[in-house]
Amino acid sequence: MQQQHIVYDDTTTRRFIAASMLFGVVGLLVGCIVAAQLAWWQLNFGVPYLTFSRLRPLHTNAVIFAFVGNMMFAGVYYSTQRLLKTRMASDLLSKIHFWGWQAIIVAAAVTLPLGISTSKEYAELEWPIDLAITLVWVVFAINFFWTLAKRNEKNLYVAIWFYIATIITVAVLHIVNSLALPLSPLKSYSVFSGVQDALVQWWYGHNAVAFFLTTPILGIMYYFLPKAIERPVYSYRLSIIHFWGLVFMYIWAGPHHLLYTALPDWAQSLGMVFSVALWAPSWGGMLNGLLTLRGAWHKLREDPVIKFFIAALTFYGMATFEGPLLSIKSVSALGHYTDWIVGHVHGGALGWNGLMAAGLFYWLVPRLYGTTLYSVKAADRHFWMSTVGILLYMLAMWASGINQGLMWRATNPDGTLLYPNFVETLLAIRPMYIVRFLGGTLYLVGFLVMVWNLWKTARSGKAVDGEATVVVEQLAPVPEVPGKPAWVAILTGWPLVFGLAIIGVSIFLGWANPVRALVLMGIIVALGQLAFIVARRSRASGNPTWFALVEGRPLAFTVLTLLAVLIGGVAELLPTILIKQAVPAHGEAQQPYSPLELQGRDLYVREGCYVCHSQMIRPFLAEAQRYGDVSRAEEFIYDHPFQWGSKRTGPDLHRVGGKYPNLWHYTHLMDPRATSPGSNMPSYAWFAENKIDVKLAPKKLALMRKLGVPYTHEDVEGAEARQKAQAEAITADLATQGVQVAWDSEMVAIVSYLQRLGRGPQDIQKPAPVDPNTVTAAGGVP
Amino acid sequence: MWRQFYEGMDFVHLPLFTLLLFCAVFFGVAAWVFVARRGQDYDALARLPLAESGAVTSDPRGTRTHHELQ
Repeated sequence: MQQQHIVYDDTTTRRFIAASMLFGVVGLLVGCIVAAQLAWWQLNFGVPYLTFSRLRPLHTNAVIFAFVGNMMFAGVYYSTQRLLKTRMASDLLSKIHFWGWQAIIVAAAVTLPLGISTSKEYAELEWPIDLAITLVWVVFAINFFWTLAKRNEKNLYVAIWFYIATIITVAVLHIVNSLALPLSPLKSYSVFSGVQDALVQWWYGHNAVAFFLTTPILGIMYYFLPKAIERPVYSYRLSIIHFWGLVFMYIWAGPHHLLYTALPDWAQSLGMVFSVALWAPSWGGMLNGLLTLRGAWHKLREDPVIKFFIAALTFYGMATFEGPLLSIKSVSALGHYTDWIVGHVHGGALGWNGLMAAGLFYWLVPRLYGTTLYSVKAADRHFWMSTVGILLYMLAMWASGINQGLMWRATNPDGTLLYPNFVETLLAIRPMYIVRFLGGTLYLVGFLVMVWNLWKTARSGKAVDGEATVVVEQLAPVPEVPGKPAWVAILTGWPLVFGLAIIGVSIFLGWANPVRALVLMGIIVALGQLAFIVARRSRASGNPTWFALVEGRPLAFTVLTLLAVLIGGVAELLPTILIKQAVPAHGEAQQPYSPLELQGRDLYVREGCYVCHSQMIRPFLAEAQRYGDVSRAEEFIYDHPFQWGSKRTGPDLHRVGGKYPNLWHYTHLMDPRATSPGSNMPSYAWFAENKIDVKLAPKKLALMRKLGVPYTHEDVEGAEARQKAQAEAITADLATQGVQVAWDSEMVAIVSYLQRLGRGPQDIQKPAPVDPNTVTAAGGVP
Repeated sequence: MWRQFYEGMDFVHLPLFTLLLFCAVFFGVAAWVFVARRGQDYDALARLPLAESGAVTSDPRGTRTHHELQ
């Protein structure tokens, strides 16, 4: 037996807390600005870098990766060291992790307003930053697993499980979703396209919520809530079920973001089923947290830390009730693309993540500075400002979203749309946008009160690093299962053997006749019963349980978690990625973009038009009436990346091509209210002044060829000439209406792209004359 | 029967098969946690966040000794 004196590395924890609060203020402030811009479109002051569509990704990235990310690292570093009874393995790696992560955040804050974006939601950062994220994440992983290897505590508390799942799953998600071919140091194209890209993106997007915003915060909850309440978690059993339930189910739920889209129906149904099933483990976890307070509810009145934790858990429960609800197809039909989703997301982000962060900081900062909280009263005020702010926000967005959904689908008795003008639906929800802005601002003010309170707390104390003396028993090196190495004991353990046997029998169940099925079910029940008896006898005879073998071995545990995540991911993604979707069911829209249209598409991505406009007409009568034919999977096969969007502040654009003349688009982009009175879209007048890089056209086509788009060598070589010819046709058309614009201006390129949407390339002569009452080749109605 | 299964197999069966596998494993884990193990097995684990003043060293069977320091 020997004693070890441990000094924990709390400097890294303090740094992450400071960074989290700093970027929390930035993220929330940008959120308030973009919320205000939706109510008062003038608030970008005509500056491209301050425009809603560029700031919104900055807001989401700042809140998710800078605010919550730094908070998560603070909690992980603090609790991991104490749960494993050892200092982090490498101070150098901790420093690289901290400063590397902050450098990535600064890079995001610079590039996103500049329009340097992949357009993949919550993964907008371009490839050099993606590589940096991968490197920093690997540094974090090495430091974490190295610490696990040198730990003084054999058993892994459930919080460590959640951290392990976070580290490996985020790595897998980030790498797969970021696969892209670079065009330049600041531009790349996703290797996936259309339906595949959409599925990969929302597999990532949903699991970013699951494994970045949920699992690590649950780990933090399982550690810090018992610490704050000074009693163990209500049910450790339930925490195990909670963990495995989330790991098994979350990875499948991504397609609920794509219900009623062109995604194959089986994938949609699978996503819905798993999303609804998530109700059980999520609520199990929430109740486990809440019931930890059993017998000590009076603390809720007295301790601001517990107030924040319990309110956060309540919002976790609300968000994880609402999420599965919105994943039911008929509910999604109403709620998708509306502000309801925005309200749901903010219930999770502000309520669950934000209040957990506040509870964590109020608990940690006094301890990290060897003092007491400067003002409990201020913390109480922060609590009420946050809670009222979130409720205002969520109620406004619920009302707005349901209103939008109902107005979009409302029809007259004769079947025509009751609100055919999209702007009508926008004007109806403007008061809710103002209430949302007020709610968000109240939350920000409360956050600033916390920053002030914790600053004063830190100033009243002095930075101290936690210390502990532990007694380490040097156990005799007895083999854990006589005659068997540990990994063999895990692989041949009874639970695994019986589990595989039951699965093996189950496979044949679906193809058996009733009598055989009955026999097979009897075998399954018998196997289950036998497993139970064997487990009891094994324990009675003093053998180690299989759980004890796995739980004390991080490597085995990590491999099992990775398998659960990979099998779910591969089974979901592979069929859609390998399927032959290039069926020429709609030949015209399956032709690649012309060089000018491709340039225009990149501008659409740069400006973040997908933030407010979808390109996916769902199979509903009201949508077909409003936007045109329902979107089909084969129409997107050359879309690297896809542009389906997830929110409609403006109308869907998938079939906007040919709906209006070129002049309409020019006028609309210069002054949206000139064509759509009441619109809250800002002006994009800089399109008329900026020039495209004409020399990039052949390079873009060549890169697209590498991605599988069927451009010929002639297409690549003639790209510049073809680009100019199409641009001049558009400028000539505009000139006849009295508008002078340079052929190589961004305006011409974006108009060409918009005119192409839902149709084939518009610079190819069509053999058959068109009906004079339909669309012209230049894109307008005569 | 198994021939039928493999002959008809295409990629769309993969998620269905994996779904079945996942359900079986998940319900197996749940049953095992709630039925095959005693509540006391978890008590020491649940107290880990609260046992920072000393070391907890477990033997291979998962039983533990707490060493609270003076």
